[in-house]
Amino acid sequence: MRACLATPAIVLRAKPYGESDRIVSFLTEMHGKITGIAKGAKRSRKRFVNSLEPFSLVNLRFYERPQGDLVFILSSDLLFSFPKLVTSLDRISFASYLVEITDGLVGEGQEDRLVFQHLKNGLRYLNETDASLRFLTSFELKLLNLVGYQPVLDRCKRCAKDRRDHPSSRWHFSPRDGGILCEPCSRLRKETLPLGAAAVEVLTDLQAKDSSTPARRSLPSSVVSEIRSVVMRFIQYHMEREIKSAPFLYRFASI
Amino acid sequence: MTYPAPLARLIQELSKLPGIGEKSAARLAFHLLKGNLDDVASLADSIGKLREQIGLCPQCFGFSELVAQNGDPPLCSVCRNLQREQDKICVVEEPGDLIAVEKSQEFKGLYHVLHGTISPLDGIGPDALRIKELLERLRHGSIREVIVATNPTMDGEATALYLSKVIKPLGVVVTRIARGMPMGGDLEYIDVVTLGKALEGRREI
Repeated sequence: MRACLATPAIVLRAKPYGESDRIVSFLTEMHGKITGIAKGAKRSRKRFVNSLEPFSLVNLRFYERPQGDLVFILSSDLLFSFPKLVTSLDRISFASYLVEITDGLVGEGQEDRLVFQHLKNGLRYLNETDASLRFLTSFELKLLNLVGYQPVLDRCKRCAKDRRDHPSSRWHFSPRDGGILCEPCSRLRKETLPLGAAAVEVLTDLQAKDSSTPARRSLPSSVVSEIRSVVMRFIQYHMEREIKSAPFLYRFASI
Repeated sequence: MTYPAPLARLIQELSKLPGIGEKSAARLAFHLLKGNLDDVASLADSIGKLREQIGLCPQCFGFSELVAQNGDPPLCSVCRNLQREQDKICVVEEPGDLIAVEKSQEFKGLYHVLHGTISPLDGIGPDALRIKELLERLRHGSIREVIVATNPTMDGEATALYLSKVIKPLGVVVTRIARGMPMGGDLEYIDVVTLGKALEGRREI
């Protein structure tokens, strides 16, 4: 007999399948990311009611099927819906972005409670507080760290030149190398992004601190632009696809 | 045993329909084979003409007969009916939703079908929907209220919020359909989200 597994989970995405079924992806606390089929989900008034919407925190019950990649979802009970996330386009855009990049950077079945906690904390923060660029970048950097893609920001990734010894130098970011490159090394790479000393400083600061730490100063728009460009391109590089929700951030969210 | 070729082809075609598996398709095919020849011919004729004669209404984008009525453009029966309230538009996601609202017999105004919802996770933005056409209708018409009847999902809410944002500056009232207890429901068995929305949307009696 197949064992029924139960775990807290966050709904990443759900799409209709056939007449009344749904294919749903979850980030679970105990079994990593899983995708499964919820039979009769569209009509269900008991097993899945209001609990398969993206961002929902649920108690998921499922079993693994002997064939195929999809698990069979037995039920999903809503624990918390983060209700304020759907009260503004700004919040919907931020939450969608957090969920999409987490989905894109985490592989199926890789158990990681810290990533689950990180996404849960991120959604809770958005549900209670207005999001900011600082929160967003901090979330991204911590997520990259948790999944093993922490960018190297203290030295040139190729020649190891220490950034602190050259505080006013112009740096470049290479998504392929996973870190900053000094001016001479950047010429050896085609796809690098410019990153000024101020932007590297802010990124290093955010990498070390919690997102709730208040910002010391407001940033010039050129620095913000460099930071957004570098972090998003780095995430896309590892996701190996475009971030579909990213245009919504710029259109509807105040960053 | 294998089916004769025409029967096998019909079973194959029927099993492409939503909710129809091969067994159900075979059952339907046998039913047609044993049924009255006129009924079968009528069914085949209806299916054949379906795509030829049904299109989208150029005003509301719901389903409409493509044959022009008295030389007028082929507007749907709702848009043609001047007895309906011409100052209210109910916005729905899909043509099927229009039919569902119409069946309620509570709404006597006009409709606008978006053909989808805004979905950040799927990269579907407002430009992919019939929102531009809705705004054109509002600018050139005498609409006083837009009732947003998108589904209470994340995408439906995003669409409703966007519509509210772009319509309100035009001086048109934007309302959202209510959410809460279904008729004949039982409080004990209603989920917490629905019950919360029902309490939030309570009204004086």
